[in-house]
Amino acid sequence: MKKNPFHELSKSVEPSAKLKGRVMSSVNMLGMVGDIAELFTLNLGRVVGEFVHGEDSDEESTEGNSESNDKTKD
Amino acid sequence: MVVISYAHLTDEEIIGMIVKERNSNPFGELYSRYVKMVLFKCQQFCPNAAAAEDLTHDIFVKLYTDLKKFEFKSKFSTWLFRVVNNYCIDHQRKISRGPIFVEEDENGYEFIEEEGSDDDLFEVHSEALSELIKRLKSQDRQVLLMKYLDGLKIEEISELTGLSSSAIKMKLKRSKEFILKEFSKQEKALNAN
Repeated sequence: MKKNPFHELSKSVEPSAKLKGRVMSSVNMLGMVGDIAELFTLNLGRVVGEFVHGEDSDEESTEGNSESNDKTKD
Repeated sequence: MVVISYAHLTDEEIIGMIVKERNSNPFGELYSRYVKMVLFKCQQFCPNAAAAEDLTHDIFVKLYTDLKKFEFKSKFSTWLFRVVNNYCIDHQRKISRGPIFVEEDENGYEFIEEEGSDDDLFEVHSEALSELIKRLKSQDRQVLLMKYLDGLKIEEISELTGLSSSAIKMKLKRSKEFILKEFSKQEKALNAN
């Protein structure tokens, strides 16, 4: 099978040296924004969770503590 | 500073690292592997060198955000060709504010035979080919490159461009005839000298 000359066409193309830096800088920035957004969502979820279930979880934790205290007594 | 090389990894392994481990460092390797191809495609849509580089930048950034959509069902390069073509066509459409692929009113669409062998086309040297495709009409050139550079099927080109299969076959036939005719002329001139 003959070699496809179309595959050779892009080999002579030379991107500027700056292009890779621009691309990687944009990509790293996107990654950082993604991390910040995830951290914000996690924290927001935790705060909302505490606000909604705050009293219940307080009671549960108190109960849990009293049980463990009892066990310690035994 | 330790520089990690990802050159020994396959495209798919690199994508796995970027998506699952959320590590953007290996993206540089994907960039190095495909930047020439992407820039070449962009140059076909934007003759201005700076605009073609801007388009290449935007495509790589989009590629990074869209990597999670890659389902590993096809080769990465096949998927990338589709992303690049879609992006370039959308970009061109925004600039021209209208369709960029137009079906010409030509007779004989329905009589175009199924594709034959491309051996004669593959005889053309890449240097000559590079010059000859510049002389093709823009949309004929895009269709020709989608077929022979990107390896897309007629149905896939039809989906991307909105052209009918017959119109695509007509454009391919016309482009191939032009290239072969001009290449033959060049060869004869060379032999005569």
